[in-house]
Amino acid sequence: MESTMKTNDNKLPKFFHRLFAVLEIVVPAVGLILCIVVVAVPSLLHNVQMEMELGQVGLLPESGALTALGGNANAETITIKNLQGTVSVKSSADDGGVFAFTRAATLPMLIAYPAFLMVLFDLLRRLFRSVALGESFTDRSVHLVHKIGVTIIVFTLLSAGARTWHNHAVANYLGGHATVQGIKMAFTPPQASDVIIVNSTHLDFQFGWEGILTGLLVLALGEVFRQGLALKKENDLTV
Amino acid sequence: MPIKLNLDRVMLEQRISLTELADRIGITLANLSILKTNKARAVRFSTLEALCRELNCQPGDLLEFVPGPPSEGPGPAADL
Repeated sequence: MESTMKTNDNKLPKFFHRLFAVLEIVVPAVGLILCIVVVAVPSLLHNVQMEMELGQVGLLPESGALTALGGNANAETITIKNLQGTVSVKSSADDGGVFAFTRAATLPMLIAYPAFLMVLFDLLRRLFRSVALGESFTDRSVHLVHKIGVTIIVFTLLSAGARTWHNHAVANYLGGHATVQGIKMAFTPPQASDVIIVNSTHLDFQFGWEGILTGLLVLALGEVFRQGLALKKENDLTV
Repeated sequence: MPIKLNLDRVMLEQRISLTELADRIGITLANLSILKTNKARAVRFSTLEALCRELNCQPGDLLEFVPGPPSEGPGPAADL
């Protein structure tokens, strides 16, 4: 009876052990394929519609660049406040286009995400292997749980920095290369490089509390494991 | 550990082997070995009772206090 229950209890840890063993291989492989596609086969991306969230975008027109279509056509000056438009990004066939730039800015993240997931899945696979073997409260398990918590927190901070840098880089690029469309005015795009002003308050540090809280929760569980290990050691030496 | 278990001395007096004693009191050889080598952190009353019964002795014959540095672990319960 006891052995049957033990076998049933071991099914879930064994399942997770196998699942993470597979994911540990599949995720880096998919990441590698994506990197190869992005770097080596850029033509595949030319028909892809790119979406970017840039937050509030303002327009800084040169003098005389705007002409009102209705209303007071005789006004000498037009004052515009809070003019907003949509940044429309079109792919360019040449390598100097926005896709080439985005490729370079996105590639580090394309490498970092699968690498992080590979490390995380490896740690989880080792943890569930220990649990499946009935060695939940060991120094090794406690060390693994702590490592998982620290990995999640470190990656959350690093990915926040990477996303912020990426958005800033893309925004700076668009500031010099993009034009605004969809505004109900006759608009002659000026040649100045700072045509598009992207509101920098939307490009602050892209920080997610979820990752930090998850990491802290795992670290707290690690402390529970450590105390459980102390109790187990005590119990093992009680005859 | 200031508390010493004189199991080996009592076993020698009673001329009983580790295997035989383990069989009689129903604990594993490994656990009895932990007791004999003074590696145990705690002894259950049930184990002490079985030892005293099979070795025909008192708990005081088995346990001895040797002054020394206190062992690690929780101290006396604090008043809240």
